[in-house]
Amino acid sequence: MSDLHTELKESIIEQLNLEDMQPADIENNEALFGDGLGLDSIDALELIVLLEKDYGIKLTDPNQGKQIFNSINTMADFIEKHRTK
Amino acid sequence: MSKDQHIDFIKIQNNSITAAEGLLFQTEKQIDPFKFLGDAYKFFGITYPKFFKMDGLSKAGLIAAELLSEKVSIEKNTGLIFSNSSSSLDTDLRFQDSMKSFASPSVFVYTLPNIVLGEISIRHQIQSENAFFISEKFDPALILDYAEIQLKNSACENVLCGWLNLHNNEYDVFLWHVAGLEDLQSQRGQLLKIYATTHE
Amino acid sequence: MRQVFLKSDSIISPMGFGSGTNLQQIRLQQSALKLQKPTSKYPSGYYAGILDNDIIDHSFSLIGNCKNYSKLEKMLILAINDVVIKESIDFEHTALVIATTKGNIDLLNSDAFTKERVELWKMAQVVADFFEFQQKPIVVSNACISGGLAIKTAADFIKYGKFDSAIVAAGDLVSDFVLSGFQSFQAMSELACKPFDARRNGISLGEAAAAVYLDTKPSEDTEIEFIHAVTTNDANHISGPSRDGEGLYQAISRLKLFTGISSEEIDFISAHGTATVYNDEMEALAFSRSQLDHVPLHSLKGYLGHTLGASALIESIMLKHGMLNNEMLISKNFENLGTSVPLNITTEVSQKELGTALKTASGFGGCNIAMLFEKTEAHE
Repeated sequence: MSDLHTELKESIIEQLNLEDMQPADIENNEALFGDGLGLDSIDALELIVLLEKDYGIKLTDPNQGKQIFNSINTMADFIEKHRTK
Repeated sequence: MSKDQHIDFIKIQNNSITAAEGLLFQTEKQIDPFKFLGDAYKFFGITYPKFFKMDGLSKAGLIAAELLSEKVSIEKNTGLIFSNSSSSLDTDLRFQDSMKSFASPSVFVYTLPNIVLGEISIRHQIQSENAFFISEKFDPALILDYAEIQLKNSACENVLCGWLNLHNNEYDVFLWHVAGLEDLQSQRGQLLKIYATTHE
Repeated sequence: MRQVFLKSDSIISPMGFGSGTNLQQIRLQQSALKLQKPTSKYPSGYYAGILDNDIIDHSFSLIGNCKNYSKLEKMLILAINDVVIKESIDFEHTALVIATTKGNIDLLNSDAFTKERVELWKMAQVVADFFEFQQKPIVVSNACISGGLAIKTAADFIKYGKFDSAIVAAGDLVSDFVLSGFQSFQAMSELACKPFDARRNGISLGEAAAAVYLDTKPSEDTEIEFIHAVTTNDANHISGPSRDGEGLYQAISRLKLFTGISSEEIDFISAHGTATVYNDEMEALAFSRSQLDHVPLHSLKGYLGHTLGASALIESIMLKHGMLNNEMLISKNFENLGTSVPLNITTEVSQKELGTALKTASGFGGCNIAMLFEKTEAHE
């Protein structure tokens, strides 16, 4: 597991107040929304803020989020390609 | 002198949670209110996945409603009539703080006092009357008068009433249940006393 | 049961001061929504309806000291004053019910007034004291249904005799606070909002205040009676409306059940129509499920923007005037239907006998309100 994956898990747990969760509890391929981690639409908005704050990526179309926030893997791939910090 | 009518209530104040039958939960003094509410949530074994994402008002309201729901019927046709003094000011300040860097959507959504009514409704699948009033001090007559009309209009079958304030790290929560019109009339004149005596 | 009538009213908005002025602007298809100057936070600007401080002060200086009141307090006082001068108000017994979501939120960062002034009850008390209302004001803060819920609260209390008359006022500002919030929600429209349109993509915010006087005395003229209102909760999500419109559908159903009104008897609907993708679709589904899809309907958000806690009061006042004039106001910025079920959106000025009308609103926290108004024909 890359540093980015772990870093992402840590910031998701912190930003989304996932109480009592550890980075190891989140699988890289696990669905973040729906049946997986059970995140909702407000969490998705908070993840958009996280992308901008931590990686300098501004999502202009919120619909993009659906694919990007599918799992830790998809998020990490997107960040690697588009990060400005 | 007639014996006071029994009223089902939950009071959260000064790091303790009390009900008509007495103390339910207490922690040492001077504990952070969010830590206190989190500890209470775990102590009572409540499971609501969103709990730790909620603001203080919703956390306190959810715990109080949960404890009341173990004793009284809180269902689809329960009206929710709440009130406080500081609206969502505590969360407003948090949101304003986030605006300095990146405004937080998950904080913004709680910058309305009535969000707690939504959380309690989701938790207990309530689809009935909602109202949130703001008054300087706890004003049971306002809440009961409004509740009485909703009951008389059959807009709801029973009412969960609440005074739910959180400001400057101090929470003052008093939720009680009105089973029906007769119950409501018997509560008049008693609520301020109960609210005050459990203050200690 | 006592009847409650909507008497004199006023709207203070960027389109003008007074209900008549606002109505005239709407007839002329004007809008308060303007592209605001770009800032670091909004590099391409944003559409909003914002009231100029100087214009407020120009009017307010005739009745009070501008320095002693916040922007929103001045707007509320101007709206109430407009009503007060048309009615003989008994300030000892008449109630004041004020609806707002965020009140003086613009003072959160400011030293201009005492800290207490951001508290909604304090703001209401300041407004009440201006007119020397003797009753403690009642403050309703229930997200975007607040303005409607304030009418319901006042009318319910009047019907059951808690008081005989009330002034219902509502107001909210376009503040950095709400702008940042709705921006973080990705809910702001790039252009002026387009309710129910296929290309709608969010709200435009607006600021305004309004007031209406409610009492039980029928006049000799044709007038509008508040019949009843019902609130419900979606019990689904705190920020998104239920996808199937269940909460609003329940509100309309319970309203019909209580009043005995059938869908065929409803002549017009003043919808919430915020122009977010989900809200307008949810409303369309609720109206369709209520067999109201053929009833002429408008959203006024294209004129004033979403004025939050004031919107349902302002739209009820406009509905009242529409009913009195048998006039269906155009739903501005609507071109092509953008909901999955048909709606009868008003696209041109038209006359129709409007005897019974429905006003709906929905808001964060999953709340919905459905209100029924009826015309009572002139007596004697």
